[in-house]
Amino acid sequence: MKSKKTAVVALGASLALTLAACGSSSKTSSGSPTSGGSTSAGASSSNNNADASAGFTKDSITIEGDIDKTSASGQSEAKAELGAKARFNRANAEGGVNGRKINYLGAQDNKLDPAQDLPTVKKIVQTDKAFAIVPMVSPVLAQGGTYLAANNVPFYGWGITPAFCNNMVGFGFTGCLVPITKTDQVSTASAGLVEKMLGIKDGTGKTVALISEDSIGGQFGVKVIEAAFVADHWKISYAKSALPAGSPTTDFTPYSQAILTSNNGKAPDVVFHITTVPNAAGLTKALTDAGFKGPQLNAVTYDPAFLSGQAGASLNKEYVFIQYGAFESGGAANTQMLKDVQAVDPNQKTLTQDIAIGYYSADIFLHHLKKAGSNLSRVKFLAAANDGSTYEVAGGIGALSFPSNHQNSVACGSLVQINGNKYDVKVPLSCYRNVPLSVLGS
Amino acid sequence: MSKLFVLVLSGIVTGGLYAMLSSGLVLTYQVAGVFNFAQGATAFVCALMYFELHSFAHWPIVPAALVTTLIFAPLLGILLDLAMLRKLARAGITAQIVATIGLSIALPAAGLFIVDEANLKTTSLVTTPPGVGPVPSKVWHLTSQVPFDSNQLAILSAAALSALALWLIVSHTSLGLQMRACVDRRDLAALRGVNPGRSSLVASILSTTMAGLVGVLGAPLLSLNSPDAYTQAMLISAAAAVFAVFRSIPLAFFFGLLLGVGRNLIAGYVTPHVSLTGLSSAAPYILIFIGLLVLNATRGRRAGTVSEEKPRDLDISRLPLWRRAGPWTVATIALVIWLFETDGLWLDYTAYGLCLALVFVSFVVVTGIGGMVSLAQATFVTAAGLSAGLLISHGWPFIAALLVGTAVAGIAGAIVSLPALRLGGLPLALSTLAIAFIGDLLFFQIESFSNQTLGGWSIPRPTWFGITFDSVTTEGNRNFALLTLVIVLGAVWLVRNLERSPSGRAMLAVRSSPVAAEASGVSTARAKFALFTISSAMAGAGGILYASYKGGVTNGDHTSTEGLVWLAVVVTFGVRRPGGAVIAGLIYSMSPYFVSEYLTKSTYLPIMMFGLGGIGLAKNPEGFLVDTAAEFRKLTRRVIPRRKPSPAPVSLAFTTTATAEPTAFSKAPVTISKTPATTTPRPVAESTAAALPVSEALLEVRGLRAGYDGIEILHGIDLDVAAGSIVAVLGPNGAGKSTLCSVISGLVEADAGSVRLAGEELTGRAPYLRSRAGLVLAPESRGIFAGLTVEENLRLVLDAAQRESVYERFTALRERRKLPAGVLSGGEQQMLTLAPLMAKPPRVLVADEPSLGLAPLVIEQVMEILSDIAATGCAVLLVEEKLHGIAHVAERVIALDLGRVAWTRAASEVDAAALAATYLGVDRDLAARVEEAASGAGVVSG
Repeated sequence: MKSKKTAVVALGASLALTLAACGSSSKTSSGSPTSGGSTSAGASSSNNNADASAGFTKDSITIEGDIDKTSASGQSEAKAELGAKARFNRANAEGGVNGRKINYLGAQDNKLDPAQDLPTVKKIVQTDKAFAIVPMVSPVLAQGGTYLAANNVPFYGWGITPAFCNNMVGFGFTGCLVPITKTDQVSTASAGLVEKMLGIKDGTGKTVALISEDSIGGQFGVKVIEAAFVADHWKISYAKSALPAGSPTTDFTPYSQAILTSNNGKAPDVVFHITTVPNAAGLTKALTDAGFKGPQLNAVTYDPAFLSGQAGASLNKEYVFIQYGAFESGGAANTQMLKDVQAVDPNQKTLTQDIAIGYYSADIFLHHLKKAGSNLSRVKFLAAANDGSTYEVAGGIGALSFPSNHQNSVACGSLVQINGNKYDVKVPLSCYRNVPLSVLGS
Repeated sequence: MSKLFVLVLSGIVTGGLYAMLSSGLVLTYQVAGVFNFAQGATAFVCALMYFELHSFAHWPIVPAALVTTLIFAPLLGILLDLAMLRKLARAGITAQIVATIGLSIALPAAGLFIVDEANLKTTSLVTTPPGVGPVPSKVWHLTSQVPFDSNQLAILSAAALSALALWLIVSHTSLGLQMRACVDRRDLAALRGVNPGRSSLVASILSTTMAGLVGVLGAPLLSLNSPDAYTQAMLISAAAAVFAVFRSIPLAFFFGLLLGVGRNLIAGYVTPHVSLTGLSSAAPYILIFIGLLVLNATRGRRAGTVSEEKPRDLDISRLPLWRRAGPWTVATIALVIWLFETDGLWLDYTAYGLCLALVFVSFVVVTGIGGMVSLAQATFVTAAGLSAGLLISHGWPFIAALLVGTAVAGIAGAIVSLPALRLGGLPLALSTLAIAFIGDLLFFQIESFSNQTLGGWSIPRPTWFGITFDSVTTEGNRNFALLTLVIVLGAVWLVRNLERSPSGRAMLAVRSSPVAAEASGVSTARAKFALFTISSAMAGAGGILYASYKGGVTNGDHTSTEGLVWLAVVVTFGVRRPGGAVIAGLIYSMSPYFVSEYLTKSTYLPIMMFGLGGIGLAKNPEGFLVDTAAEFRKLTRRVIPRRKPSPAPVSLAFTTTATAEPTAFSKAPVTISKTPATTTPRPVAESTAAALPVSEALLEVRGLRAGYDGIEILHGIDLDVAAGSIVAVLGPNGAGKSTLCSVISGLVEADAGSVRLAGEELTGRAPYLRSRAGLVLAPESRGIFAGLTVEENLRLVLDAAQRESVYERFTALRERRKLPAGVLSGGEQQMLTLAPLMAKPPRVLVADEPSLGLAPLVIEQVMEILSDIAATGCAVLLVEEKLHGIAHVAERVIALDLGRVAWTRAASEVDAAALAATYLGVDRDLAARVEEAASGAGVVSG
C-alpha cells in the first residue's frame, strides 16, 4: 500500500514539490471553508473556537508535533521530534517566551497513512489541546490542513504539501514548495548552486539531463527543476519521466544509454536525478559504469544513513542539493543545533535532516511567539507571524517572510558532495531568485 | 546495433529474475494446484533474511546468501506446504486465491514485525542489501560504454543454473517424474503409489528456493523498502506464467527472459509521452490482462470443479426471527447510542470505520455471494472518489457528485466484469489485479482526472436542509457518521435481498458447480455482471463517503495493494455475511490505534494478523465471527444436551444381513426392514460365494458404506476375491461401481465398513499407501498419464528390466515409447494401463471398466491380459457394465444395483438376458425371492 508514498516521500525530501503532488490532498479550493488571512480567521474563530484560549495559560503554552514516525514502508522522520524538543528545551532553559514555558508534548505519529491525517490533527487540537503543531512533517497532510486553517491553528514544518500554501496558518521553513499556476514562483537554487560549483556565471553552452519516475509527481518535479535551469540559460538535453513508477527499476541500462546519447549523440554536462533514493543510486552507478564523468545530482540523499551499504557505494561522488545550510559547513547555527540536540540526547552524535526540520520549525515558531507578545490569542499570534517581516538563520535557513512565503518557496540551498561515508560542502548556503513556471513556455 | 545488444544483454539479466519467479509459479500451480500469490512475498522474506544475516549477524555475503537460499528458503517451503498449500490443493479456488494473498500480506509483515520487535532495524533509510559478489560490484566493460557488473553476472549465472537444475530434477529424476505424474493426473498418480503430498512438498521447496534466489540476487535491485516491490515483480512474472498457459515450465522461463528484454526495448526505443503518463509502467499489467483474455489460461481446470465450495454449514434461517435479527438490532442501537455519547477522535474513527464498512460490504456482494475474487475494489473506490471530486470542483452539489461517482464506479465494474464473464476463478482474480495496477499507474495518473499536482480534489461535506455534516463540529461529525450508518444499513439490506434474489440463487448454483449450472441453463453471465456492477458501485459509494470524511481525495489514497489487505480483512471476519463486513470495517479503522496504544508500536502486527485471517479462509470459509458463533453453539449444546433422537436410517436395521439381500428391487426398503433379521435364513449359496472363508480371500470388503456430500451411494457391500481369481462386478449406470472402486482404492473415504488386504486393514489409508501395499486400481477410462511419454509412464512404476519385458510383449508400445501417451489409440492406452501391472503384478488389482470404448477384438486382448495377471496369483476385481467378454475369464459375477449386492453367481450361470433383466429391474425371479425372504420361507439360489 505504501510503496508509492515512500517514493513520494523520498522525492519530497528533495524537492518537496513532488511530494506534494503525490502523498497529499487538496489545497483549500473555492468551494471549501476558507481561512484567507486573519480577518476570516477571526470570523471563523468566533464560530469554532469555544476553546480559543486552549493551549496556553499565563505561564505555559502547549505544543505538539505531527510526524511520520513509523510507516508500513519503513519511511520515518522520527527524529524531527528530537529536533523540536531540543530547540524548545533551550527556550525553556532561557526562561521561556514572554513568561511562558513551552509544554512540549512530543509528536503524534501519522504513520504516513492518509486515513490518519485528520484524526491525528484532531487529536492534537481537540484532545491534547495544543496551541500549535510543531513540527508538522506529514507527507499526507491534506484535510488535516484545512481543519487547522479553519480553526486558526498554526503549524510549522516542511512545506511539502499544498496544505502549506495559500493559507495563513501553514509555515514551511522552506516556504510553500508547491507552485500551482504558471505565474507561481519556483526557486532557481538548484541551477544556481550547480553553476557556482562549476564556476560559471550561467548555463550558456552547458547541457543538463533531468530524469524522474513516470508519474504526475515525477513530471511535476522535472518541470520545476527544468524551469530553474531554463531560466539560467541551460540547454536541456533530456527531461523525461521515464523510470517506472510504482515499482523499482530493475535495469537502468536503457535510461543511462538514452541520457548518454541525448546531447546530439554525446553525453550532457550534468545529470539531475529527480527520483527516489534507490533510483538515484541505481542510475548514478549505471551512468558511472558506462563512463559518464560529469557531475550527477539528486536532492534526496542527504543523510549519512544512505551512505552505508550498496546504495552508498553506488552514490559515491554524487552531489546533493539541500534546502538549508549543510551541517558540514559548521558555523554558529549548526554548532548551536548540535549542542541543543545533545543536551536532550547525548547519544546523538551528528545532525540529520529530520532533526533540522524539527529544530528549524520550532525556531521559527518561537520567533513568531515572541513577536505575538504576552497578551496571546491565536488570532493575535497569526497576525504577528504574518506581519511581513523577515527572519533568517545565518548558515541555516534562508530569509523567510510571511505571508509571502505562504505562496513562494525560499530560493536558497546548499550543495554537498558524497565522499565515501561523509559529505563535503561544495557550495554553502546561498540564495538565488524565484522565477515563474512560465519560463518553460505555455 | 550496439544499443540493441546492450539492451538485450541487460534485459536478459532482469529477465532472469522474472524467469525464476515465473517458473516457480508454474511449478506450484501444476504440482500443488495452487497459484501462489505469495511467491513475491517469499522472495522478500528471503531477501530480508539475507540482509539481516549479513548486516546484523555480520556474516560474510556468500555464507549469508547460501544459508538463505539453500536452508532458509527450503525450510520456508516445507512450512508453507505443510501449513497451507497441501490443504489448499483441494479447497475452492476462492479459498486458494484469498489464502495465498493472505500469505503474501502476512509473510512480509511477520518478517518486518520480528525485525521491529527484535530491534534489527537498520539505521539506513534505504535498505539495499549488497549484491552477491564484491562490494562495490566489479565492473567489466564489454565496450567502453557497455558495462557488465558482478551482480548482473551473479543473476545471469544463477538463472542459468537454476533453470538447468530445475530441468534436470523435473525431467531426469524419479522425483521429477512423480511430480509430473501428479501434474498430469493427481488421482492416478496416487493410485500408482506416488505420494501427491510429497510431490507437492518438493514442488513447494523448489519454488521457494527459486523465490529465495530471486530475493537474494534481486535485493540490490528491488531493495527492502517495501515488500510491494517483490509482489509487483511476482505479478510481472505472472505475465510470463500466463503466456506459458500455466503449464510449461520451460516456456514460463523463456517468457520471463523475454519480459526482461521486452521491458528494456520499450524503455530504450519508445519515448514516454507526457500525455500518457504511466503507460510504460503499466505495460506489464496490460500484457497480463490481454494474455488472460486471449489465452484464458486455466480454462482446462474448470470442468470438474464440482462443488468447489461447501454451502454454509451453519444454517441460521431456521432460527426464530428475534434470534437472527436480535443481536444486529441491539448492535445497531448500541452504535447509535455510542455516536451520541462519544466525540472527537472516536467519532472520527467510527465514521471512518463505517465508510470502510460500505466498501467491505461490496466484497460480500462480489466474493461472498458471487464467489468471484475481485482485487480491483480499491480501484473502484479511487475512481469514484476522483470522479466525485472532479464534479464538485465544477460546482456540482455533493449529492449529485455522490450519485454520479457511484455510477462511474458501477460502470467501471461493469466494464471490468466483461472479462469475468469469460474467465473464472484465478484468471479473473489476476485480471482484476492487473486492472487495479493499470488504474494506479495509468488512469489515475491523468492529471485532469486526479488533480494530483494540487494534491487531489477537495470534497467538502454537505449541509442539507439546515443539517450540517461538517468535519469541524461534533454535531457535524455525528451527523456524518449517522448518515454513513444509514447508507451502510441500506447496503446490508440490499445484500440480504440480493442473496435471495434470482441472481443470488443463480450464483449459488454457479458456485456449487459452474458446469452443471451452465448445463441446466442458469445464466452465469448475467448474474456475474449484475453482482460485479452492484459491488463496484457500492465500493465507489464507500469511497466517496470516505473522501468526504477525509475532506478530499487523491490518487494515492487507496492503492491496489491496499485492496489486497482489505480482502484479507473482510475474509477474516466473514465474507459471506454483510454483518461481518461491517464489523471488519469498524475494527480495521480502530485496531491500529489499540495496537499502537496497548500492544506494539510496530505497524506490522495488525497487517500480519489480517493476512493470517485471509489464510484462515482455506480452513474456514465463514470467517472468524461465524466460526466463533458455531463453536459457541457447539459448546452450549454439549453443556445442555438437547433431547433430539436422531432418526436412524431405516437401512441400518439390516446392515449385517444386507450382503445377499436382494433389496435393490424393492422400491420401499421399509418392507424389507420389517423382515426380522434373526428369522431370515442366510441364503447359503450366496453367502459362500460372495464372502469366502477368510483364509482364502486376498481382498476382503465388509459392510462398506460410502457416498458423497451426505448422500449414501454404497449401502453396505461385502465381497471377497481370492488370490489368482477374477471376480466380476456388474451393474448398470448408477449402481455404484465406480464409487466401489474409489472406496476400495482409497480415493473416496468409506463411511463405514472395512477393506482388508490379506487380513491387513487398509481402511483410512491414503491411496498411495494402498498402492504401495499392493492394492492397485486401474481407473475408469485410461489409467495413463497423457502428458508423459510412454516410457515415462512405465518408468513411474517399473524398473528397466520390467520395462523391457513390457516392450517385448507389446511391441507397439516400444515403437511409441518416446511419444506422449495421450496420442496413443484407445487400445494402446489400455495396454499401457495394464502392461505395468503385468510386468509387476500387484496383489490385488481393481480394474474399473477396462473395456470401455474398446473394439471387441481389443476387449479380448484386455481380458487375456487380466487373466495373465490373475495367473500370477493376483486377486482381480473386474468391474464392468457389460457381460460381454468377461464370462470366460471371471470366476464369479456379482451384480450390483443401487449400491447393494443384488446377487452373486458363478460366471457360468449368468446369462446376458438375466443380467439385462436385472438392469431393467424386472427380474421376476429375484422379486419372487424377495417375497419369499420376507415371508421367511428360505431362499433359493438363482
